[in-house]
Amino acid sequence: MAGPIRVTNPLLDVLEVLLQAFDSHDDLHGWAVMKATKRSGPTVYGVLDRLEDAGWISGWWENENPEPGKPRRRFYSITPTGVIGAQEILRSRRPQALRRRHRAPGTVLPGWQHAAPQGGAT
Amino acid sequence: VIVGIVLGIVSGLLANELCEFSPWCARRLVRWSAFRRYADPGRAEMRAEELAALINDRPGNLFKLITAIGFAGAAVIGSARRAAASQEQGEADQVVPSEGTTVESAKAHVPPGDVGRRLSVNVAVDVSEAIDQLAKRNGPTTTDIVRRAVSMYSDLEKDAHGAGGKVLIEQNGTFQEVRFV
Repeated sequence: MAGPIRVTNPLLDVLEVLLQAFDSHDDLHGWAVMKATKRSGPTVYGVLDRLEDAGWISGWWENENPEPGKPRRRFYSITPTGVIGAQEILRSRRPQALRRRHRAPGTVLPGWQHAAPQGGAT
Repeated sequence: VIVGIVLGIVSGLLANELCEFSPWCARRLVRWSAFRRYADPGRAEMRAEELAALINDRPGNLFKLITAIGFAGAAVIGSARRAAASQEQGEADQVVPSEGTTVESAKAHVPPGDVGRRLSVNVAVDVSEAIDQLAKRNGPTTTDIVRRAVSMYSDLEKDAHGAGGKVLIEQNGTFQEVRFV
């Protein structure tokens, strides 16, 4: 295991998705991570909690939802520490994910979108 | 025929009301889930807002409600696990070795690494004063034993400051009660 993270399959899925978002300079909100990983909400948010606690991801609120009257969303991006840690874990546990990443940099996953102007990191 | 028509109208109205009600119910449910799941109020508030947005992104009223029920179920299971773990910890905290208890059996009731923490709580009273009293009564040998015991597995009673007291010390793998005045 690399770093203070308990390695599980959902964690690997989320890290893979976050690394791809990093490559394509995108930020993701929780729903996008759920769609991309095909994991349930509680599972994804459990992983996001652990990653945030470990400092592997950082979250920030959008100023306002592009759709008027809708609640604002929280976006996540992987931190430099997270990139290093994620690569290390994926290299040992899911090497094919890193090969895919190098083959198709900048691939946009379903459900992703560019974030609205960034609010303060929380 | 008339009853069938009336039932059709009523069920249609009910379904419509339920569709209106379910997104509101889903938002309330995820908010409740967030506060149930996270002990930190700041994080709970943050997640509550975030999950409300997530529910909003979910297509269809039924899916919104199903997603919210999923979060609520996970929160209930998580909090039940935490409560069970907390109860287990509480029971371990209440374990006080009695006279004649072997060290190994006492340790078996205390989670690994918890002996030192429990000791630090129980020995919040002035240990040195108790040791001095014991030394006056029983001589320096007992003092040495007590010092060693306190640093390991002893449990000092809270009345150590009073006119009398007792301390459980570990000798030859067994807890022994030493009384002093």
